[in-house]
Amino acid sequence: MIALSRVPLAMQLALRVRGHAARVRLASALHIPAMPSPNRWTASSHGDLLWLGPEEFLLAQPGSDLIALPTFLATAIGPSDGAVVDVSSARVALDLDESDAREVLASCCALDLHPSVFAEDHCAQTLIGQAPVVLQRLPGPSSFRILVRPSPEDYVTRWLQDAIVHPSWRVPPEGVE
Amino acid sequence: MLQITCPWCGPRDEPEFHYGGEGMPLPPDSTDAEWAAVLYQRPNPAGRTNERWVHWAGCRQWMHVVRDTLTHDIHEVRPVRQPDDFGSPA
Repeated sequence: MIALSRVPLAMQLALRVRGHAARVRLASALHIPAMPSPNRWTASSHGDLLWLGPEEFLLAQPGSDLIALPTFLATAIGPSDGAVVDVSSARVALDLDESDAREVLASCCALDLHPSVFAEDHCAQTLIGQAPVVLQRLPGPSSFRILVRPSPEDYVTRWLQDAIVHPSWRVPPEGVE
Repeated sequence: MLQITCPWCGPRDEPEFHYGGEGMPLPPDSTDAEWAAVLYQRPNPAGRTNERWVHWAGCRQWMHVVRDTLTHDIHEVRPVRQPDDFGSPA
């Protein structure tokens, strides 16, 4: 069974926000206590909010209430403290939901994804093969979301499917679990 | 393989980074010869070097890296805070 599925995301927004006050306003608009710290993500009232950079976040929104959302968030940030850009077409989401998902990813990704290092609220930008991706650890024992640009999607999918189909390609975890 | 500890993302492998040259100030008012010296004549020291790298596949931030060109030891990594921050001499 191949447990790799493409997940529709209705809207993705790149949020640029400068300064503490604007971050507080934006967090309040998204109903979260604070903006996520580096390489973390949090579930907000308007979708998953991922840290991408010191002043940059990605809001991945599964649906509903879409048309007013960019304006609503831009108003919260303020005109001179950042920007909201619709990047809905920039990445596609692939969910890898398999008991050996970590070993499958280890065949093509150098990041240490052990739960003690890469916990459920972690996300990271890294490489799968040679393709830049945003990797998001989903709640659950072994679930990951891979956000990848549309053009290398086929390349990333083939890397992962090869490791799913050929268990010997997987990289077994070192040491005691 | 070099492993660089990004100030934001932690230790990552070198393919996630691009080398941005040695960190040195670009003089605003200079002759062509002085500009050529800045752009093409690098000191290329054997030993500690003040370099700039960008974590292109991660947070896309620039950082100063003090690296020993003989041993590849990385002694210091810190973020570039300002466009005119060229780092202190290594």
